[in-house]
Amino acid sequence: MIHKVCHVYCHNPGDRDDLFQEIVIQLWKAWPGFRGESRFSTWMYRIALNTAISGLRRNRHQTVYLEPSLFTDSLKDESDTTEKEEKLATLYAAIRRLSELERAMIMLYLEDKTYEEMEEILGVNQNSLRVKMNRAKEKLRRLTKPS
Amino acid sequence: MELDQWKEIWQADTPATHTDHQILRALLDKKSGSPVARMKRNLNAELWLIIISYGAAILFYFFAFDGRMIEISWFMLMIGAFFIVYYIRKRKLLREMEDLSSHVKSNLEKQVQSLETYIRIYLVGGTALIPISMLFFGWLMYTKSRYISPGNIFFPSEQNPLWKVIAVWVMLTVIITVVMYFINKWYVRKLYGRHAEKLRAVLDEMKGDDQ
Repeated sequence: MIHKVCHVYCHNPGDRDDLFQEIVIQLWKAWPGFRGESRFSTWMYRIALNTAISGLRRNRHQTVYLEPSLFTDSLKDESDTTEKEEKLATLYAAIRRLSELERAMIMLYLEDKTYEEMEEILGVNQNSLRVKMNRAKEKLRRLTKPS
Repeated sequence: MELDQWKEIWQADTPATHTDHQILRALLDKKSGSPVARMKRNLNAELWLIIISYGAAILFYFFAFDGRMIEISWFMLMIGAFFIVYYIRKRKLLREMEDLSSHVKSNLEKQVQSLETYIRIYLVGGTALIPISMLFFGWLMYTKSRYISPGNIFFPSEQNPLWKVIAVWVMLTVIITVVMYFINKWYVRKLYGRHAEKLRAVLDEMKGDDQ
């Protein structure tokens, strides 16, 4: 899940590594305060999305590989040639063109979260979420349509 | 391709996660790069700078000139005490901003509110110091001018009546305060302003269709 958040919010590997590290640090710091009032996954999503949205990401103008990704096999290089990975790269590229809130909503939609869970994570009421979600899906459809 | 197909592709992607303790340890040992962590580091650096520079100046004026400039020590001690209050207030705001476990909307509200208060404290604190210092040093020069050889417009003398000296000090204070206000405003915006604007924009988007 953390890898996916990093991919959704950061374009280049350097920023992704930074965000990954930041989310891990924030989860570690917040863990003693987890009281089990919400589901663990909801709590984790909140922290990961809050870190990604409220974090200040540097705009790197060039791709800097700080170190080879040690955590994931399938996400380490978008130039992997398999068809599936190409499609996944297309999807991520399209999502990154959405606004920060839309990225979070689409990610939760792709993860099959219910509107109730989305409300718990995002704090936006379900009626409002439905309206926003329709707009975000429409945008995503347009962005993923082959030209 | 329909969205459901994209969903399948998304869900089929399950990055292999290694839970190597050494890697985790290495990650946790690194410095946090979050805005709040950076602000905390800046605030601590500011505190040390004040302790060292003010501490040295307070001691110097306490003992130098046979204690004739001891007022400067008291003044700096008073400013130092204000700084402690300012430091505690900022530190409290940063602690509030550190909690990321609430849902995204309320976290953003908290972040924006705290950041705007933080910026206001920075701006008011940084700007207010100028007229207070000018007022103090003006008074000091007036009362101590017998120790410093007068001869220019900043000191009252036979050639420079008191009203003229006061007018010069007031004018100078206003000019420097206004200039410092804009410098502070530019600097604080450069440091945190754009970040606050970005958070405000996301929050406005979240509130957009609220019913």
